[in-house]
Amino acid sequence: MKARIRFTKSDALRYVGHLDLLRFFQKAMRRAHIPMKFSEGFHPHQIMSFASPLGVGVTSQGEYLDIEITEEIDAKEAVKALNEQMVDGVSIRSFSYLPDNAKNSMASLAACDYLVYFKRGLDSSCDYVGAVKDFYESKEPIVVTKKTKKSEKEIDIRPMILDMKVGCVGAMDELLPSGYENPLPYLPMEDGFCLNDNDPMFYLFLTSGSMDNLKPELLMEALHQKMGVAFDPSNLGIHRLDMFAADENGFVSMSKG
Amino acid sequence: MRKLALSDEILMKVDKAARYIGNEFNSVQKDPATVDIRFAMCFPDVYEIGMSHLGIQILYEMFNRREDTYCERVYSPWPDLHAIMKEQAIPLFSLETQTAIRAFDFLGITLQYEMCYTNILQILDLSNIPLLQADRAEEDPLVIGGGPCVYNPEPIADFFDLFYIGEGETSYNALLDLYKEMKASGKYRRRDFLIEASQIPGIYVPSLYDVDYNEDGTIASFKPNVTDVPEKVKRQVVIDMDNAPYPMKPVVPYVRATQDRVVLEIQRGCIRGCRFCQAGMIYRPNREKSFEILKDYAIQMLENTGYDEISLSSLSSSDYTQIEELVNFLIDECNERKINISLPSLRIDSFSLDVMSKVQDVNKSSLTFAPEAGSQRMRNTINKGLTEDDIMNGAKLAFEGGWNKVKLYFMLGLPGEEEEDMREIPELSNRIAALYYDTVPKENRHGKCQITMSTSFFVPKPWTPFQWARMYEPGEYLRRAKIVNDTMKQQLNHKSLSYQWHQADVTVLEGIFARGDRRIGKAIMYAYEQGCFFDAWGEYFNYDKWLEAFTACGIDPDFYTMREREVTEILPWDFIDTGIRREFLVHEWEQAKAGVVTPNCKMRCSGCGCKSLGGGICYYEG
Repeated sequence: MKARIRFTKSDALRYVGHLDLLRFFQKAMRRAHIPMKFSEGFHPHQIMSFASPLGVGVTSQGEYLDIEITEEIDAKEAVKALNEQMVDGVSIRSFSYLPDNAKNSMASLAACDYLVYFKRGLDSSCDYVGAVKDFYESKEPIVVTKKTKKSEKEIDIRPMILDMKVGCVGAMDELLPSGYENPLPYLPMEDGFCLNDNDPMFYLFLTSGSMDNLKPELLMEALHQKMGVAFDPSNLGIHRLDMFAADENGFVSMSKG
Repeated sequence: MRKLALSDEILMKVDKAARYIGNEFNSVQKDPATVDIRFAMCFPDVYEIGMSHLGIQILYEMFNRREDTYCERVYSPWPDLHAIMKEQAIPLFSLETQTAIRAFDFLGITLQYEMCYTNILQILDLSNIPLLQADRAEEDPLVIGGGPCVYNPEPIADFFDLFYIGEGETSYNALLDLYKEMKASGKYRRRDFLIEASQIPGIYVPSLYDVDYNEDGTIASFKPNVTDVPEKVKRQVVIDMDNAPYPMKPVVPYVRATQDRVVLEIQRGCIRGCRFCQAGMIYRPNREKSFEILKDYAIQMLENTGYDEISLSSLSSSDYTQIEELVNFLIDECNERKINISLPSLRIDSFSLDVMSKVQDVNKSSLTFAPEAGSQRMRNTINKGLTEDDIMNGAKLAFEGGWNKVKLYFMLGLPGEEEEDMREIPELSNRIAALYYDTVPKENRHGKCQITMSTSFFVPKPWTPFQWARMYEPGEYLRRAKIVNDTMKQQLNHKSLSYQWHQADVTVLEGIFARGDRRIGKAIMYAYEQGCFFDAWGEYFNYDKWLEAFTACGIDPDFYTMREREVTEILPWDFIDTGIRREFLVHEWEQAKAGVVTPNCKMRCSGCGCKSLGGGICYYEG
């Protein structure tokens, strides 16, 4: 039986890497007595996969973990039991069953959306509203050099940008699609970052997954290149909002199964 | 939300930031404002090593059971973070509340191996606590050391306010009570507290003792410099193991610790009495936990942590009276829960092979034998009650059971070792390889058998019958390793053998620290100030810097390593009353030289003196 768990990751937990988080969840499943299905072999392991690894330092209010279990359990009870085994910085938001033939979240991932801000190094003379207009609303190709482990290649990232908006931190709700949970509790507000009301905040909706994966850092670098302004990706703050699969009607949140 | 001590910029820069954030599952949260005593517990090595240590988890549990005390953890920042903290003057902090260590009442440092000594100074330095006890102010934390290295704490005596000698479960409450009482009544002064504390059994306050030396460098006298301070400090021993505190909810780290599993301590001490083994002496008498308690602990700890593996902790698991019942119980429980079992320190016999074939993949795993010496003569010298027949029978059973990888552990540089004894190491290994080809028919073999020999160089340790023995210079150790290596190449089955040996210069330094006296402290401080730390890590160890430190401090390392001591010499650790009689150690030293084996504690009492402690194997019936 397949189930999908939606969870959030914030605070100090954002420094816990992907593999360590996997091990954290394996232990939490045992503590919560979730009837996990195991692989065969001498060292059986729980059948569990994340939709997409979250980088160290990135916060999120929409992470997904798919698991297989051996017997049906009450979804509400599962959320409660798991939350009792969490630590500050991770919370379980939902537990829902998937059809047996469902592709796992990693395979079906097609897009993610993000809020992006500056941790530090914000150049207050930059007109980001104008820059985004120039950059995104003009229809020219946006060619960047994408480095992989093996090679470098030039690609047009424009088709990978599904949406791009800029506003300010104080009015971030205007950037969000309707029905979204308030991101404020998950953002590192007290770390001295550029998260004052008037500081710029970007909403990015980008294709993701194994094929056309566009990272927010790469897009923001391209934006700054176009503006002719120096950019250090380590100054960027990233918050993931949600993940999406694609179907005939467009993009659907992973939480919708 | 908790505020972290390190900025995001730093955490994003350093390796494995999750080492420094605390907040692990089962870590204890308290409001520091509601406690009287704040205790920072430190393992002076990197997080993954420190988090694997059972002793700290026991004390963490025990201290935090007290409502008036909040015990937090701290480990050595890795060199990448160390450099940043030095450069930006960031004080070292506790994991739980991310509080500066200097704000604590106590800083407890566990001393598990000598090569961590410079890391003690790193901890003090980053905490802004004066390195020397004599330089500390009233408001500085009290720095207390514990663990196996305190059976000779003298090389690091100048850096500590107190040492706790023995097992922490017995006297710590008295120490904390005394501190709280003196604080509450306004009577607390650092020195007054230390004098009072020296009356608590097991507490050693080095500043209250003076050492005088003879012209030849040996100790002339070692006595208290304040009236009524005890001449001897009594080692603390837990007698009722079943009711001793145990961490039923151990802290579960995010990053993979070296010991990433539930650890079930089944017994303390060892009945064997191997003459090189310090643990076999200083944890006497052997004391078992009851099978009933262990069953309960195992299940509870698995439930409370979610670990997928459990391991037994003991010096010699096979000697646990109900080992078969315990292992069978674990196999049943763990099979059902899909939990792995790790069984270290099991003797190779038909029972253990049967068990291991159930818990591991025979084709992939290797079996470990620890003959410790190649020749029977040397095995008798070290009192390893193991004959060549035992080894060959075990190996035969293993080969029949399907194993073809064997690891063999030996020591080089043991007292009385001759070239013939060194050559016996590969010769024994060759006979084991030959046994494989004799035992396993060609059609059942999966390629060659693989016999891996590993030698460490012997370091004489305090409180063992070898505490008087000499060591050798690094070149001599390497010469011996070369004899082993050359002899291996001459063996008929040399293609099935491989050989690894330990670093020789680290051995010498470990030897200096193990049996050093107070004068060594100066060189440790000098070496730290010249950049030595993480000496236990090959990539950071710099022997030349250490030699320079000894020269600069006017210390002759050979005095500590190259001399066989007279049994009448006053040794730096003689002020400790471990319960082990000196006459026993002298007798064992003589028996070693004569190659005579002493029976183990189950066979016959050899009168080591620890029966006076009132428990354990000395009183078991049957």
